[in-house]
Amino acid sequence: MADCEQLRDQYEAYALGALEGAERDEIERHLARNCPVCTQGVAEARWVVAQLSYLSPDAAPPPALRYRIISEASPASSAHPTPERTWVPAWAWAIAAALVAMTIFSTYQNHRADRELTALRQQIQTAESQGQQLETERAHYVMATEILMAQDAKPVKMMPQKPDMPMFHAVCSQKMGVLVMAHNVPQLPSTMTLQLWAVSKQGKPMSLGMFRPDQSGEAMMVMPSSADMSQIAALAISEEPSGGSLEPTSAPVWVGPLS
Amino acid sequence: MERLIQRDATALEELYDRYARPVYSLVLRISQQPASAEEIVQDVFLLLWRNAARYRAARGPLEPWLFTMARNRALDFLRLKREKQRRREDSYEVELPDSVHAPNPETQLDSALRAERVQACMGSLPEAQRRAIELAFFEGMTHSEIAKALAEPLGTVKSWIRNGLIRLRESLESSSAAGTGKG
Repeated sequence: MADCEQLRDQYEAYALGALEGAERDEIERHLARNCPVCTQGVAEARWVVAQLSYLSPDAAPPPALRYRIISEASPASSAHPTPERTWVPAWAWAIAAALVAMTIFSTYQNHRADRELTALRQQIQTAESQGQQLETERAHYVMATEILMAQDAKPVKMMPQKPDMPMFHAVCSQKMGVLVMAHNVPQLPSTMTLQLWAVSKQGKPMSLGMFRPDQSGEAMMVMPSSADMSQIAALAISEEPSGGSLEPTSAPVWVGPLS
Repeated sequence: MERLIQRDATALEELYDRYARPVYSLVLRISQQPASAEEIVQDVFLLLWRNAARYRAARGPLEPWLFTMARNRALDFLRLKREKQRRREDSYEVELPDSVHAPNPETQLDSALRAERVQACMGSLPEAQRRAIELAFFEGMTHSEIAKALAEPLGTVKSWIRNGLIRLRESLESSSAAGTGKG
């Protein structure tokens, strides 16, 4: 058996996975018997090799990935969207309301306080409006989480039928509904919308609703359970005029069979 | 990590926000498929979440450990795609990489400086030598496979890889020792 000094020069190649045959076996024999020298040497070599990761071209993961990971890890946790969006935290309302009360009691005859009061009222109105939007979006994410976590949830990959289009991920649950989502979806003209269809085994499409990608290319739609999923052969998404169509007016851009 | 072991999801969010981008960059570079890269990154972070208790400080700093786990899974995907080996069964017990230790923990550069140092060091290598290391790291090739791909003698490839990584290690350590590193 080779001694550790003879193996030292091969630690990096081993950590890289480039070593093969008898050379690799020799190091593995040392590691298997917990040789302290080789164990420490290989651990350090792994560290060096790991630094090569920095040669990778920089690429940002899609925001939806964060949501999926956190939702699966802890469904009860709030997997808020990434910080790219502007959110008005709920505590801002309480602080705004408290500032208004303090201003009224202490400086209501002060001209500067009157101006601040007016500004705060405007902020509260803005916060209320944003809060309603927040609540709507929160409800969507809650429904999406319920679909993802449903016991009968089935994933469906909706493949693009056109080149350079991203894939849609769908989850179907008879009990909770249907969720579709994708990122990097190209923007649509204001006169068009995406429409989700459930295609029956007889080939008849039934509309599940309309949605549009946001400015960052994120597209998501949740639909409560309505159709009998056992009679559905596939999900499809087509581009339709704004307001939707009774039947698809063009070939679907995305199709996902339910296996 | 303690908060992660105690199932604090905000700890996972913090780790994701800190490490997801470089991990995803690595996995995408290896797999070349965004959809697969997403799945692999998801696996890596969920593996960490589900096995946090098994991760000990003795395994070393988290970032290189995450890189190692992500690279292993991405190369598994690559090999599966090439049908070179039978697919390993999913088993969290098997997937965790062993210890990953910095050679000199007391004088380590922060990740941004390390990235610069790695790119500078690799950029200074001759093209063929750099290519040999990249084939091993990003494609999972062995010495003999690289020698065949580059039409170079086996001994030359072994020397290139050994000397290139020794040079990288010395570059990272010497920058720290010169006092430019941060603890």
